[in-house]
Amino acid sequence: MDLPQQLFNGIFLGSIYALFALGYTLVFGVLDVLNLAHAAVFTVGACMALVLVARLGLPAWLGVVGASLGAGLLGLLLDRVAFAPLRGRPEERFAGLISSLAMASLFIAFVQGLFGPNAYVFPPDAVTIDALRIAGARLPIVQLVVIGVSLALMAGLGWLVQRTRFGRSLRAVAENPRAAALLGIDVARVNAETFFISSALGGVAGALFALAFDSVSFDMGTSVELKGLAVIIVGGMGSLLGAFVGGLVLGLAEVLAIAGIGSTWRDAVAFGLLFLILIVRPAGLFGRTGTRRD
Amino acid sequence: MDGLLSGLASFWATYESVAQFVGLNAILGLSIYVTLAAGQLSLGQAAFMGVGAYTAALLTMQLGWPFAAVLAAGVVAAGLTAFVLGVVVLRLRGVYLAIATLGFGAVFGVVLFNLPISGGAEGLRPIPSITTTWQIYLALAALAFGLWRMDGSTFGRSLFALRDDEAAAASLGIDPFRTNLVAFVASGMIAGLAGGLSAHLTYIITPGQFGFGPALDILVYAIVGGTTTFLGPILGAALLTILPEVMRQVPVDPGASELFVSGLILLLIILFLPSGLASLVVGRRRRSDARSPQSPTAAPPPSPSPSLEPSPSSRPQPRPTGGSPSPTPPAPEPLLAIEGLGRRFGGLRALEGLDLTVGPGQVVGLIGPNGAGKTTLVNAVTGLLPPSAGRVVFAGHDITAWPAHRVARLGLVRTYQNVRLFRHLTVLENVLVGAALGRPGTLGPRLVGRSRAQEAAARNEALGLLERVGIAHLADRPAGGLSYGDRRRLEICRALAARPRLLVLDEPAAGMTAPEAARVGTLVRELATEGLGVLLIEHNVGLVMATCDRVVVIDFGSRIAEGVPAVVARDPRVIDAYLGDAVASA
Repeated sequence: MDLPQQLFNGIFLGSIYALFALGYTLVFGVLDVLNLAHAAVFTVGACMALVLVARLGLPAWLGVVGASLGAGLLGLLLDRVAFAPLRGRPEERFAGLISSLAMASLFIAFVQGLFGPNAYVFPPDAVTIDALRIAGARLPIVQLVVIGVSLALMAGLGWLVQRTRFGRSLRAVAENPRAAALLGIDVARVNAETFFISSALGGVAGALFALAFDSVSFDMGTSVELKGLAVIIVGGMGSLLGAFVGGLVLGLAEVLAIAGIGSTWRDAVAFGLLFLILIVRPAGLFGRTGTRRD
Repeated sequence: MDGLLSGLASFWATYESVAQFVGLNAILGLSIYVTLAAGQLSLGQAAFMGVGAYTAALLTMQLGWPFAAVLAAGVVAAGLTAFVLGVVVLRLRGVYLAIATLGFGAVFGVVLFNLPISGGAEGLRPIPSITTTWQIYLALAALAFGLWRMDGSTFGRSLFALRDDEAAAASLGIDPFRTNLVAFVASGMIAGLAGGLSAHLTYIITPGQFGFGPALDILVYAIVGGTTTFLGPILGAALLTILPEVMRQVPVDPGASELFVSGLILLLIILFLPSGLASLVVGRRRRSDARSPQSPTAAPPPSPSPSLEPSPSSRPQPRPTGGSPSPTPPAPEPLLAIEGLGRRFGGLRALEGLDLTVGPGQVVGLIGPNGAGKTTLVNAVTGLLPPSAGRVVFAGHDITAWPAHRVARLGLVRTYQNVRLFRHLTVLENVLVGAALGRPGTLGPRLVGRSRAQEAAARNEALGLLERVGIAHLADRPAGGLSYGDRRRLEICRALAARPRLLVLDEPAAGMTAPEAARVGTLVRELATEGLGVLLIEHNVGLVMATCDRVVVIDFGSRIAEGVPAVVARDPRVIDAYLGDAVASA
């Protein structure tokens, strides 16, 4: 395989990592907790897309939209059940880690109970198998669409956070929830909305991943889960730009590593990168150096 | 009778392996307990277990070492791995540490997959089945005993103190990095032991047994059981190991139902029983050694007279720090000398060219308007915040930019403006954390049952100090539940327990009633009579005037006046900058 092909593959993989990590980092940036159920939401999103497309015969794009809405609702459930009740506890961050882990088990248990241990594929005509050829590289349309959708969603999220009234309350809560509440911001509502958006992005990532690789299984979240953590550390916890760049860096690094040293070492790349960043620059590439004041 | 016996025998035959895994998982739960006790979340336990398992299995299979030797080698290998990893990652905190250790686990898995010696994805087999049930439970019992003794020891308390408030712990001489590293290595070794035992039980080991899922399982044992006592992880492991066996009776996909039930239990525990199952069993009574039956009423009631305190001459010298000899300071030299101290935050000069001295037996007041730089000064002197210019000399040592725990060990101890107690420890335990500074630890003696006299002495001294500040009747209360004034008094008491030569009090009377503040003033004078130097930062001008030998006034980070209280109070610059209202209303 030649270099243009490698670069394309890396960008494709990286855009999925980035989209997945975006939800992680959004919740961390605003609420200062790590939502370990994000990978489970990713998996559920993929399953929803599968049901909508393969069982109900809807077109793929509707499957993705449906998955994002369904996953967003799961996000609201997560906030209500696993995070909101813990708010204000001294060990809130730690407790949130655990409760989200519990929710992840419940989500995955449902998926496993419904779908069993097998992997599923989409109907053969669900997505086009056409591809463009540029500079000798084969660029499947599906993968191009995935890249485009990821970029659009990331740009949209950036606009939402930086340019809208909602984004301003979100950033205020991220900076200091107590002060935000005193200024009349409905913090509980901002938290819920953050979870909705974060999980909707996770669901889209899952649906796109499933469509692009034509595979859905209950354990598909495991690999992205760890990669997503690596991405947000590399990019800087809480930084949207960091998640984007971190995702692309990881995707490219992995693809080039496979070509360079073989696929069995692929998973070491993410964590080699992670250790390097933690040692050299613990705040990540785009991380805030200050900590949140409570 | 025969029927009963044979029934028991067949029951045991069916369930012995369950019992074995309960024991192994309990050991793993204990391994993560050691780091959780210090407030550090390590998700590398499964990998440490893997290091122990592979080391032991390889030594058995390839070199035929005896079982005890391979277990020991597994423990050592896991401990070394934890040490190397800990040195790198223990600068990190919270989720960063969790992710870093998780990342280590993932890299370890990749290495296992790729190295020829570890058998790749196939793993290692056949590993002879040597481990017996009683060996597992012997190891578990030994560990449980050790951790039970640890919980009430000085080392155990320093872990709990770090978990509650790392900065406050460092201000009492606890070295956060070192203490965390010791806990981390110990936890790695325990996991390594579990690895060696389990490898010789399961016939085969593969990389998947030590991956992400098992790492989280170990955490779940500890959380479900509770992490305020060593009993918690044992209970959690037992419940979560036995439950799937019970679930087998239910005709649902076993993988899904097991996951569902463990997830549900975890969720219910974290929502409704945050201290875990153990809190149902032992309730709030834990680490009971601080108030074992023989104490505290049996202890001779300490009198509040100053004679209980070591006199200035008999005040023990703090241990020499960093190997450098501790010279006896010449008499005229001040205990603390701050020269030209400066601290900038970006473009903001919080402190500039500040000079200040405090002698033994002297009470020096530091006053100034809000934002003048008082707390910044305290932080810069006590190692919380390195100064950007100037020098701090204490007891003959240049302590500029020393870390907080070293400053404290030299005898410079502080309190915090916003009171920082170890809220999950009792009042008495808080004082005992302070009292541990410069004294031999009690973990070793406790393990061999020779700690009674040492602990009784420490306890009595702590109770005496509590008596002195007037809160001895609260000794067994959790510190988090005290009233504001009592919290301040406890913090002073805890600092005194560390036997400082210089005490820095950052607004000790803030929020106190007038009589309470007056008691603090009396106490400070008493302490000075005993030879203690005191730097008193206070907004209560009446208290400062009544208590201090000398007052330093700062504004905008620089000294604007210094002298005896009566003179400073009339200095027009001071009145202008700060005292105007206070004097007028006094």
